[in-house]
Amino acid sequence: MNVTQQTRVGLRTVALGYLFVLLALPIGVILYRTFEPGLSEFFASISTPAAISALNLSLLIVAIVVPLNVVFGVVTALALVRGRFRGRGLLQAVVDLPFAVSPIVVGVALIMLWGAGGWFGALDRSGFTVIFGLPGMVIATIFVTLPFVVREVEPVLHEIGTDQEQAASTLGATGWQTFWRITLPAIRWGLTYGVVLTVARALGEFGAVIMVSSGFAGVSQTLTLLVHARYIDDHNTYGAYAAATLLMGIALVVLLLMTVLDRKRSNR
Amino acid sequence: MTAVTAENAERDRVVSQTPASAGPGPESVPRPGGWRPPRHLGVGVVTLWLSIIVLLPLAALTVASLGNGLGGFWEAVTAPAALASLRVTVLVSAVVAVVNAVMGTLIAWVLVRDDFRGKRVVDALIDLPFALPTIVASIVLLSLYGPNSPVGVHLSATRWGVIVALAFVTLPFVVRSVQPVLIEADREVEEAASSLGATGWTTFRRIVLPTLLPAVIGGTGLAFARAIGEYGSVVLIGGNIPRETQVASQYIQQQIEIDRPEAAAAVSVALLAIAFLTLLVLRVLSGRAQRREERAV
Repeated sequence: MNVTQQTRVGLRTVALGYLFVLLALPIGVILYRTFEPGLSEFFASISTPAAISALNLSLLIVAIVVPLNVVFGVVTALALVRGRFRGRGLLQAVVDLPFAVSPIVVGVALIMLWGAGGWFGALDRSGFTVIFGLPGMVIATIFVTLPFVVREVEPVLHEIGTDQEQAASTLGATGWQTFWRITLPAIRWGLTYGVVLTVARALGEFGAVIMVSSGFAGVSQTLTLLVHARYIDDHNTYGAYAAATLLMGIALVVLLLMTVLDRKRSNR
Repeated sequence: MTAVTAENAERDRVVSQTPASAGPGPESVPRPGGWRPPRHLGVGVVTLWLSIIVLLPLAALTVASLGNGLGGFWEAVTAPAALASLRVTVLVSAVVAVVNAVMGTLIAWVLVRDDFRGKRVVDALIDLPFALPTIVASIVLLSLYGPNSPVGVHLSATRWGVIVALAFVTLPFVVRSVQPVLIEADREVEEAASSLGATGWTTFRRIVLPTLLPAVIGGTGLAFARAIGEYGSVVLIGGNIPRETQVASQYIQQQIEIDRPEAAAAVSVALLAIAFLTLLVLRVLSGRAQRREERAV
């Protein structure tokens, strides 16, 4: 397509202008507003007791969700790639389902299942709080992050095939040995990529978590809930900016990791 | 560690539940076909896991939405406020989808065919909305377009605010689906067209756009589906004004807060249905495009 220099520059201006107004400028303004009062103000704002407990809770949820997603994600990917069974197409669809469900709907669905009046309500009435407790927040996070590990590991498994593993088992390796020495090293970058995506989403999830959290500062407030509460309930706009900037910093690290991992994956 | 033991316990249970299909026991190694979780065990674990996490909650949701019968469901979904929120959601998402279709394609074209300093930075920036938590997107936009706007643009509690927020979080969909197609596209055909005297616009309309269309539609559909259910990015900037800026997800949340779970569940199911319908249409469309391509080859 031969475009005149004029059109080319015009199109470039429109595209960059759009990105500037939508992305760059707002991010610039929030950074300016966060750091304008000085670094010490920023650190004071993100190290209040409520903020530290929110960070701890967010990290705790990540620490529970990631291992579960790794184990079940890899098993799911193996079953989907290597299994020959009826209903495989159905399972494929179910794995993608969380992407299509609104976070708020996730929250409502979990309340209908685990809440005091839900199907598993007996659990709640017997004193094990799921909804409005840590388990509910963990389950909500697992729901929204479930596809990541599966979908990142699956194509790698397709690609590597089973030749090496067959060789290993012919040479007398047990199933576990084959898995640890052959399969796991082969899928490690895909798996890591899936874990990075899971961590990012787990730290950033808001809608599903706010539905199943009691939201008490210092008890059941994650970082995203802290941002919301500071802005809406405390009218602490600066505090909300600072907490959002902290989350943004984490997101930036994630983005960098993704870029590096992506290169690693394609170099393989 | 506990996760592994729990998994093993679950495996044992699944195995004892499916004696007919258990086949050779877990110890029967070596087995051709590579390492896999002992046969049927993996499938059992996966089914159980997906059921508990995904299927059972959605089933409970559907049943709860019918708690007052089909009539109750219909009444909850067609309540004026519910209907208004669904209408606002679909309208705003449609606008955002169109904006994405146009701007996303344009940005993809600029990123692939144009050359300028800092292009790589811009390219990396596109993914930012996916990496950023939605509530942060809300705050970021409010810092510029909110009550203390330094540029004097006040979008807080307006439909435009909702549209900007949704455009922010859905930005990558179209760009990232069009970009690879544009890179692969055969430029010789375009050059042939222009050497035969076609203007840039004609070449784009007749040659480039038909190639890109499946990718544009795919990305736009995903953006629409995402916008339909979005909550975090609109919760602060939207203002939650009924009939004006209240989207369906906010209405649902409100119904839970005022303790009307059946209504919340009913509107949730309606919202799910819209999202699934969108994805179904997309699948049909992409299947058709693929068949057409195969026929062409």
